[in-house]
Amino acid sequence: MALPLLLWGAPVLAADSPWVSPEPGQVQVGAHSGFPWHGVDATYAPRGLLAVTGELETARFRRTELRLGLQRPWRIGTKWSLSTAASVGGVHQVGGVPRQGPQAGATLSISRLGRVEPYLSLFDRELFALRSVTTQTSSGDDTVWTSTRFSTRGFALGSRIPVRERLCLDLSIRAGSVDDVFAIPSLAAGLTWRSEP
Amino acid sequence: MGRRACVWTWMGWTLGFAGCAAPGGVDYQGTLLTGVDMHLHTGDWSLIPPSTQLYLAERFPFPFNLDPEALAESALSAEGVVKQLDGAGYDRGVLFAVYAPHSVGVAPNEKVIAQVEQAPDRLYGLASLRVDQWQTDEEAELAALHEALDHPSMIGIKLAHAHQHFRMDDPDYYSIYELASERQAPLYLHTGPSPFPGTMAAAPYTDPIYLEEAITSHPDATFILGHVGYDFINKELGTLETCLSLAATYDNVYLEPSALGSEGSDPTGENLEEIYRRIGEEGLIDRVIYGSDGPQYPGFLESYTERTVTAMEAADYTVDEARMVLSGNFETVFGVSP
Repeated sequence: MALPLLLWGAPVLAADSPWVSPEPGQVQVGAHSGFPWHGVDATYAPRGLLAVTGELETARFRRTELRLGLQRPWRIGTKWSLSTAASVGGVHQVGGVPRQGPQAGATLSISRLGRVEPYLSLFDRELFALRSVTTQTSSGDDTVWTSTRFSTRGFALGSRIPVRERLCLDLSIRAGSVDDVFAIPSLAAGLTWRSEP
Repeated sequence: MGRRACVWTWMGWTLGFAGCAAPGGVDYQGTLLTGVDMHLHTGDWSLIPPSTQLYLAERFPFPFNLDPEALAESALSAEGVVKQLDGAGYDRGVLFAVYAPHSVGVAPNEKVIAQVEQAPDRLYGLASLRVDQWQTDEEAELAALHEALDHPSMIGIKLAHAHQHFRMDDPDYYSIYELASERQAPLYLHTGPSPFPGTMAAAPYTDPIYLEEAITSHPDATFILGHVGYDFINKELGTLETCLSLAATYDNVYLEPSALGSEGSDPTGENLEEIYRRIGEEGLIDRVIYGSDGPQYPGFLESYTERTVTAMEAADYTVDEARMVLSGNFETVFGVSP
């Protein structure tokens, strides 16, 4: 994390538009990899500031999450941007603790605008895990579905560092819980590309 | 140990080094004490029933719960156990054999012996036996237990009536206590309701009052009441008072407060403190043998030690009394020394 900290005070380039959210008509696509999460994402702002988001993430290829949502940035003066996002999607987890079901989430991010964009995101995702229990009876199988709610909450601290006009490096650390269980803090590095506005 | 400390222990494990406890002893009021953890587990993940595998995996931190077998095999190995002993400052530990195929699984005597032999100066073992086909296999099982106890590092016997599905007061099984008397092998007995799937919850399997007849009829056997009757399901003291009463009445009864003081089973630490306080009030400190029920997860031994030290300090245990709990009573009961 030393590089982003060193670049914290880099001068703001007025011509640059923030990487926190795409400009109207712009598409941003990205990929990230680390421990334990890998993923791809895309964000598109059709007209105004409201953007459509999609993200596919996997943890060790055993837990996969798909999220579709909306995102909206809110400028706070010239230096800061607040971003709110909401998503719906699903989780499919295999392995020692199999789990699956729909998930809804919300994210609140604050970014310091500039050539380098440090950011802090708070997230809350609620999974409604579905489980079926089939009982064999003399009159046939009796299947009952149950739903259990699990919360994934925490924060991500990172920095977006432009490396080309349309390419940005994203370094982050994520901490918190996954499905109400303490999660080992995760590290990730990503690249984001964006189109012409 | 607080949650924050656990986080760093976890991160340390992830990065490949052990915890940050003082090496060479357990710090009690500024004095480093020799420690022995008399309750540790080994085994193979594949020998644990699926329902119990799920129960355990759900308690592993993310993302290790996605691949619990890898973490479990690492933690349950002799190397993993010794690493945890080092991290918590312990000199030695005791691995349990387990034969409970319908609840917590199987860790055969041969497995325990193989693990102990990898670190013979650090590990002892408790042997066990199957009892689920007792009517036909009693003689063979007792012979196998005899054979396991012939190994110099196998110093006692582990039983868990609730996990192994036999009553504490069933005289059909008293031949095990007779063998324990003959071999001078202390008996470790799980007491109190257990949270694991497939466990018998009724009082004759969990309440140590049902052991009283066996205790009185086998005065040459030593009975160590594991978990001091703690109710792990409701996170309550359970039959603690019965355990204290038995220990106060009979010279061949000892107490072992493992697992119950963990963050999961006693979130505030109040129950562990109460147990040590009551033991002190009853004048039974010379009957307490420390155990953790580890390794459970990386950092658990260190965490449990800190919670125990906190509880003993809250109950005004002196350094000498803490020394008895952490190693002295164990060495007296099992007849071993460093």
